[in-house]
Amino acid sequence: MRFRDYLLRRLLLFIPSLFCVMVFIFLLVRMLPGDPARLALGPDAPMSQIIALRHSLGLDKSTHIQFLIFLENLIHGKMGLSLLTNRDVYQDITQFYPASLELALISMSIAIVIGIPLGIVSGIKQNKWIDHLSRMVSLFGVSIPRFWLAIMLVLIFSFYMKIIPISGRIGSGIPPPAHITGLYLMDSLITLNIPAFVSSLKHIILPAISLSVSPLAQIVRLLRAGIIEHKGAPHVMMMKANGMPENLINRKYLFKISFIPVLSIIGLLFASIIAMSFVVETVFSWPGIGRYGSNAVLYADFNAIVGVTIAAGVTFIIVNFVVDMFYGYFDPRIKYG
Amino acid sequence: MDRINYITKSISCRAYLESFFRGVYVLRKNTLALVGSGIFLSLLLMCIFAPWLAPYPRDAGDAIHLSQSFKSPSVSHICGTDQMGRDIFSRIMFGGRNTLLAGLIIPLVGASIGCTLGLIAGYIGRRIGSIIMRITDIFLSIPPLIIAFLVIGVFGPSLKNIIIALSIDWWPWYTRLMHGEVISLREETFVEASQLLGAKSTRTMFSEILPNAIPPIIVKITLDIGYAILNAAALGFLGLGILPPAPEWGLMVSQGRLYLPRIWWITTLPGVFIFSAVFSINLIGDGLRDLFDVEVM
Repeated sequence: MRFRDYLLRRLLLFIPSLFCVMVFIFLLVRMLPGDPARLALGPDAPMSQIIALRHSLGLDKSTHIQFLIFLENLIHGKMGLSLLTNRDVYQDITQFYPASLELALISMSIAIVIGIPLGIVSGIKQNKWIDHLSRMVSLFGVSIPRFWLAIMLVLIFSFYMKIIPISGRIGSGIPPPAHITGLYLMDSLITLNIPAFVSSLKHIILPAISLSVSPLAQIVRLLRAGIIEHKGAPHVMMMKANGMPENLINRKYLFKISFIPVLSIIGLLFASIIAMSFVVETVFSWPGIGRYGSNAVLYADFNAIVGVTIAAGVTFIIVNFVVDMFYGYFDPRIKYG
Repeated sequence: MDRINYITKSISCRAYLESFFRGVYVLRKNTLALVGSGIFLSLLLMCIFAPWLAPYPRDAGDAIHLSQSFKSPSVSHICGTDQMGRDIFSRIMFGGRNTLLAGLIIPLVGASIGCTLGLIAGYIGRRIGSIIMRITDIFLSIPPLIIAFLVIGVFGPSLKNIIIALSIDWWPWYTRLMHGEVISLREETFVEASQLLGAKSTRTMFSEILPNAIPPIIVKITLDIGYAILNAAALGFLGLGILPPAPEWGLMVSQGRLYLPRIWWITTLPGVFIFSAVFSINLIGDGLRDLFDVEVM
């Protein structure tokens, strides 16, 4: 099967998983105790008003029709009013989403850029001091509570050393860069707005570090295990026996095959970053969907909860889709079948 | 290690148990795992016997001694006091009961649901099996913790709801792991022998296949206890878990945030306890993983 066909097939699989996520979220929301119309109008509302609202919300129709209405509204960008911001949830999410995406991408990049070299060195120099060091680092990384790490970083770098701002996304005196992608770092680079770039870099660094420790640790651990497993494999031994330079073996064969398990959990690590951003964004008052979502859960703002869940679910599915594209590069045995 | 696996796969449940105890013996030589078990056990005992051990047992609730508020760590208050003058160390001891309880129950509930489903799906197979695995895939396609937020959003914050919500998050992983194990064990000779001797399928499933699929499950449960503690504490931190004035480690970290940076001990010290609990359980998990020679995610 050619790569293009594989891509198409994956795209087709993408739709049912999206559909299932929607059904799941819809069913869970329908399990809500109480009548949404009565909740919206308060306990003293007359019966006629409740019936009218039920009708206009489509709550008097059967469940599958309600689900279709839910999907139709979603396609038209209507998710219902948020109690907290008094706007349509769709608007809120489109406003807050880029901040979260930027944070997640930077955290993932930190984890990958530091994690891969550390894992490789650790695997190749097994049981040397550098291996012990990086194993300790990764053990610390998976064990540290990320919200607590975030607070500790603020305490050290913002309160005591006063070199990094406490919260927010960009300095208060600096106008945000022109809206192109919504990612401040990228926008300010495109418009060559250096002060904005430096300020947003300073703001993003602490939340990104606190989000990246655990994925980094897991990348190091898996990569190390993979390299140790394949280092003694017959095909590597044979290449060594044939006198192939060690660097070439490593670069061309060992690293690639050891990277496959890492690739398979990158989607999952991204999901854990999304989930943990609920907490870390709260600590740093980062204006993303994580903070929005955790406020929504706290104040029982159902439309917003559903909106955030859908946004996170869709992101997760897309990331997994992108990750699947890379399998062919690292594992040439894959026939896209 | 191959030896142990070979024995477990070929003889019976009894031999399996024997090799398990042999494993415990081997584990005793792993210093790090031993240190981990020591730390975790002492934390556990500290929390279980909190009503008798805590220096100020009344401070776990809503006691108020305003004259004692914001005392920095000293001999009479090892971890200092909070805004109400309550002893932080006593609150940590009582709070650990909630945090560790959630951390221990969630993987166990998740594993019992997930393993049963995985066993059925793997052994019986056919339609039921593929239906179970499709449902599992759906649950796996939603980011973890997001389900938990949704469930807590719908049913309201409490410790019970955190446990339910996170267990819903966790079972699909066990189903998948168990399914894989069962599929590979199903073809082994001892399973065939059991079937030929006329054992019922439930007997074959639970007394032949299940004991042999246990090692990766044990490793996963151990490592998941750490993750469950972290997630339960994170939900508590957001105020979605147990409600104040009851103590919980994550909640205590968030309560101290208002008084930073001068009053550092309210936030810092409960976090140190979360970290040491998770760190020690990870040491045990790593030891078990080396012992059983399995790789789980």
